[in-house]
Amino acid sequence: MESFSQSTFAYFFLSLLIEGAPFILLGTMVSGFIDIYMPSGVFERFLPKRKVPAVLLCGLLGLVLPVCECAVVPVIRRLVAKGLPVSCAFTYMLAAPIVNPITILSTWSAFNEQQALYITLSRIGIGYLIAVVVGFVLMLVPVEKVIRKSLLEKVKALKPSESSCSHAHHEHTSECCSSHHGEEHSHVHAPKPEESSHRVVAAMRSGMKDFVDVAVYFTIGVCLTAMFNILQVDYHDSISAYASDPFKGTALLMVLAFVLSVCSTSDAFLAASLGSFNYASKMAFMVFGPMLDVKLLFLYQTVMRGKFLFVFCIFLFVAVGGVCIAWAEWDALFLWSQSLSNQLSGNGKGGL
Amino acid sequence: MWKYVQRVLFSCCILTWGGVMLYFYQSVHLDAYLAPNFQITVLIGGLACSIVGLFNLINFRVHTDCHHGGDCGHDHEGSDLNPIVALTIILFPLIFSLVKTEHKLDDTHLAKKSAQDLDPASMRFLADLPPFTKETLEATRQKAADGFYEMNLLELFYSAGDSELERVFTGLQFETEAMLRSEPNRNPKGNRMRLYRMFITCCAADMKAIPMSVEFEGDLPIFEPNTWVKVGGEMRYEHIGGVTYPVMLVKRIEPIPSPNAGNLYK
Repeated sequence: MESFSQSTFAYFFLSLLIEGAPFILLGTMVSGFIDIYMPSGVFERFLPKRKVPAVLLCGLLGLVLPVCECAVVPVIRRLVAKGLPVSCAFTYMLAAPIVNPITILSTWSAFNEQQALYITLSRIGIGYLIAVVVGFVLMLVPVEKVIRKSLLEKVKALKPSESSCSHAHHEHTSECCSSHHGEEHSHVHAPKPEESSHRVVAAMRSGMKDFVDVAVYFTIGVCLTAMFNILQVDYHDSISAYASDPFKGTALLMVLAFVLSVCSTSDAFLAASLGSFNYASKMAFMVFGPMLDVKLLFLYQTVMRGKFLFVFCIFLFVAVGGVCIAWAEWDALFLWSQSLSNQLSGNGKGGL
Repeated sequence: MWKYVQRVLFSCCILTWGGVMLYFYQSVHLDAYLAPNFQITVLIGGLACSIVGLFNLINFRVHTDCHHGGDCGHDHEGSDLNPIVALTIILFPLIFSLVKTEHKLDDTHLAKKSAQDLDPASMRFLADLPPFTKETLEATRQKAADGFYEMNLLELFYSAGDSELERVFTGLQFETEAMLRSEPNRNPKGNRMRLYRMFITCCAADMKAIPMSVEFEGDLPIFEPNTWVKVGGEMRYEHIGGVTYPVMLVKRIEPIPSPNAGNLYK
């Protein structure tokens, strides 16, 4: 701690904060409007009936329904309770914080001048791959072993409630909001004209609440990151020893991602700043963090059984680390192919 | 009543963040915090935070209905955390930092950071240097009155990470501007000092010192540590432990004023 200085901490803290805050706001406002304006049944209405295509599609839903990892857990909990297959819900839950336009934009911006296209596409690809693999595995696991008893009871109670939920009563229970009721039910969702503006207020409030929720974890993450960046100077040699090793460096940054719990909309800025680490480690930081961190561990307990959650965490750690280290080999391949391409195109020494 | 208080407090929290971002956007210190391509997002974020905060503050009494019905099972304003605790976590570090920041690294941190060696090859992505030949160098770079090519220190540093650039640059004479300090590493004869510039990729937290050794034929010049200097000399490269480091043999050196804020971290 000999290098700790309040002024440098403040300097780093503010720089990280003003860099990430606009993206936090953007993400939470989008989330707020989705929360109010989008009926939850939309998911099921447009999903394929067969599970494999449904899982594959759910991995991409974040592109049109962008939510960060903080917001997605309550959403999928509700969707599972309404009958969305667990495999689809988990695939969306893991992929959406990475495969969404806001995260893509922030990753692109953070790695500007650091092979932004390559890093961004790789992050999307690896995040999607892991999410889909988890979805496929869950297709083979009995739902009783995955989700909590209380949630399971809601799922089991769903079928009777579907049949009994006639449109005559028009009570908006959570089950009634489901798409199982078909298009004819949509009229009840249309607000009166004078209420439209109030829905905007509700959306803004929901976004504001999300903003505060996320800003808490973001602020803690930024504090820890600022500290880490200060202490890094004292432990430069030790960290460099870890950083240069793809296995140790990757494991270290995955643990860091778990502890920091930074929002997926802005974690790329932190990853880009970890200069001495190789790209496998940074990629693992950006893929693992949105899938599992301290705050998610608590949120996941509202959905998953304890034993399953333990296995789920181990699986994610090993799978993300393994895929990212393997991807680093592709990084080398990428560089080699680039140099070969330069040689083939007349040495490529063409000036500025 | 408590919901009203919560709405007002949350609105003020967002307004505070918006105010901080707008303050930094118009501040001369912004260049010390963010790389130029991130600065516009501070303006947009600051304006957006202010609008959202004001909108919610003005409408804090408005009753709303999400139209999902009363049994939706979700509360759009409920939070996992106590609002006061949440606001304390959000605002305390922010206010502390606004009070304590000096808009730069402290001297100890700067001294330690600038003493670190970096491998130019491992940081190749940071500088997208084009392929150079002596002809393209001649055509695209300005020359000082005595024929030295003017080049940023970062470019000279990263040239050590590319064997082709190393071949082209070796023996050529360049002029560059940077801060000067003692050379803590790779200085067996004691006739070297270190040029360095602080470089920001995204924000100050990722700031790195980009170093280059400068070698003198006679006595070392006497300057205050971290003085900005303009140096002209001949480029060479040394290979130690599988890493290529750039070294400039100094022909001339003079102190210069510090660059303006916009050019300090490039």
